Amino acid sequence: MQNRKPYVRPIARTWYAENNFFSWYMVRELTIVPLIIFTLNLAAGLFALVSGPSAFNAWVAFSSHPLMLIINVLALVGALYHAKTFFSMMPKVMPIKVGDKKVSDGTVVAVQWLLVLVVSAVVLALV
Amino acid sequence: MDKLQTVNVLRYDPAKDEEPYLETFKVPANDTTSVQDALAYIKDHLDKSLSYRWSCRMAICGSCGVMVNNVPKLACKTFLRDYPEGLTLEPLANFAIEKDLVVDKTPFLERLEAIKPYIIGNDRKPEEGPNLQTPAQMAKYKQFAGCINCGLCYAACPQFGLNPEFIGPAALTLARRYNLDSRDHGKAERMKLINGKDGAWGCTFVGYCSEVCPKHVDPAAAVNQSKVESSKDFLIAMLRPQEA
Repeated sequence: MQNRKPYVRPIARTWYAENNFFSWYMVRELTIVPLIIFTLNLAAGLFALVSGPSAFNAWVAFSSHPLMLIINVLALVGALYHAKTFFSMMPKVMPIKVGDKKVSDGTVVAVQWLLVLVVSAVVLALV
Repeated sequence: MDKLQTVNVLRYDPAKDEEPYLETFKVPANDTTSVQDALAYIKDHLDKSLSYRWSCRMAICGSCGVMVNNVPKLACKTFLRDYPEGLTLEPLANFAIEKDLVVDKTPFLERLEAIKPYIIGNDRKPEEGPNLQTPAQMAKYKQFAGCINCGLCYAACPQFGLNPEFIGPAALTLARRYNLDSRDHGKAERMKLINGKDGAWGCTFVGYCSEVCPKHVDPAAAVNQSKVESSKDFLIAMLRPQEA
């Protein structure tokens, strides 16, 4: 066994760029960045609303800045992409049974998107 | 009609080499030539010093895992006809190379052993006859029982590559498989490992393990089912009155 000399290959810092699957995984993880900015801005908006009309108008002006609009669009796209990945893993992680039969993956995914549509419609009807 | 096809192989001889290097071979191939056939041709006709693992030739022994163009595959289940531009074979990623395409699988085997992939705490005696299960009881774990321990999922898992302590896909899947088995009573023992940061929570759901699994075991599903289970464990422990 004196010739044993196991070679450990180094992992490049850019490992996620070498494989499409890993790149999309990183995109999924990165969707959190615009979402955090969106959430913080929304929270700031709530505080501004309580602080009075001038603060709120300033917040509205800040939020209509093109950069904020771009971040909002990114946050929406990111949230939808994240939802897509989350919804498709749902039936695998929490298999649902009705009686003795497993509900098909497609049905679980469809029901989740239907819920998104219903909740969005309710919210849109309220504003 | 056989035509010559380019096969690059990552070579490493611990007795001579400081680091691995690629060597190019020309291998005659037709529509039925598997990567394993190509390796056998190289060893028989071109370079007898080539080392690689193989046994069953039919995707059940789990010995012949290699990286084919950077994707973990079973050499016996991968065909040269799908790589008309030629292909590059490397040892399974995330494992140390012993020689050429042979890796040291010890880290994987240690993890497998640690999660106790066998029925625990069932004191049934042979006289009592077979331990019957209903089809529904078996359906719960059957998919996860298809694992052949080939290690492709470990080569596909960046978390295992980046964190050598991570228990990893196949071992966590086998833990889940036995936890779901109605004949087993070892769940509490296995949950101790699964609950830790190097257990199910070491997984960030990259999901590539399920993509490369040659037996469609879906390790990502098993690992993430264990996260749900681990969360339940945590909640129950929180709600249970503390022992004095």
